[in-house]
Amino acid sequence: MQKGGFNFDLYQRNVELIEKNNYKVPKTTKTGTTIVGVVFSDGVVLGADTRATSGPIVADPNCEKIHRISDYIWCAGAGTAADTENTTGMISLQLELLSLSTGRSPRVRTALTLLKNFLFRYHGYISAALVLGGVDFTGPHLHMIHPHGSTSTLPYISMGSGSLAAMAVLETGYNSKMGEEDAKSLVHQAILSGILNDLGSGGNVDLCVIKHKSMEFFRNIDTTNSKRKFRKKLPYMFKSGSTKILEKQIKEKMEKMEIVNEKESQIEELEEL
Amino acid sequence: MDLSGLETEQKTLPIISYSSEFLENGLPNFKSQTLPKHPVEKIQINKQKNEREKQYNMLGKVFGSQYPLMLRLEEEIYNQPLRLPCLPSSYLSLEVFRGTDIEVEPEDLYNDPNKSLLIQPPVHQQMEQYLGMTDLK
Repeated sequence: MQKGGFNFDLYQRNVELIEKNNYKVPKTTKTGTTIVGVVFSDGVVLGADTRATSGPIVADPNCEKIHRISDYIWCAGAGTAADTENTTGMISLQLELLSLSTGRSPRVRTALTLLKNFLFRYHGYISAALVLGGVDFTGPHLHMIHPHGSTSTLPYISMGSGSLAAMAVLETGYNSKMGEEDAKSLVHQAILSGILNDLGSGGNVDLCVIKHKSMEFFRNIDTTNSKRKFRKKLPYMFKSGSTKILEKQIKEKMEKMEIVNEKESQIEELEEL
Repeated sequence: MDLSGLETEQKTLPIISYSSEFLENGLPNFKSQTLPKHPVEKIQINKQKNEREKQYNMLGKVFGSQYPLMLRLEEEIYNQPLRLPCLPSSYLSLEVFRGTDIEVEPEDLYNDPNKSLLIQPPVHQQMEQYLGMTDLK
């Protein structure tokens, strides 16, 4: 019986390749992202850059890294873009079903448990490093989830390749009695630090402020780093004669011919008569 | 030889479901069952069964051994095919009992064999039906 899900058909071939043919296993690609989360007095602020890289090339200069899990539970994801999007989508589905069947509004802790159990089952092969933040009836929560399934609960978190740069800013600027504006500007500065100092991060800054029964998403709140200063004016204008002519072929223009249905033309002739 | 895969793998005899099965899929091959499996694949195969066993163990220690026995009996009843022979059974009651009817797994969302572009429908069967050449009399 055919089953869906992940396909492990090539595992035996890979084992043979490594043992017999001395095949070099390709290295796992680093996460090219800066994602940040900070808890303040009334809620949580999540921030992310917007660059999606495919090796050394920028695949998407303005992608969305902050995903919705529930109305007031959002998750920023670093790692393989497909893994983070599909994992958060699946957990959002499961959480919705759970909240409908229990009749209670979803908790951040439930989303955390679902995510960590899911990721642990795949032993780190699903490379999704997540910063989960939200406000439920118990208050604001912020968690970090590593690809292997380990989690931490902290007042401020940074993940991705730009996490060191962002963490430097967070450590300097964080205080436990911050208000909303201070938290927003701290997250903004942390992401900017990641964008400027880390090669894998870039683009614009996205912010997400979650408070009790309120969520504000600031998409592209800061676009100063993605505007290219020097840009050639489009369209490209080429002077005549700039391309060398190798061959000339002149064809006569054909006259336009109408194809008339035989029966129709006969009927027309009869009508005329 | 990786024996841990063998212990956990459900062994089945080849079941001939339609007459041209060997023509399309080749002769039955038991080699794939003895070769080592990816550790993550082993987890996916055994995860549901292991979790149920853990649950039953826990319930037995808390409520006494007859409670999981009752539950296992109920599960066995639901596990029986209730249709006429050779008709596939949906095992819906088993799914409801196990709680998997409201569970969403990657198997349900990704790589759905019904939506696959590579695997083709049983062409021989469909042609036989169309031409009226089926074995049924």
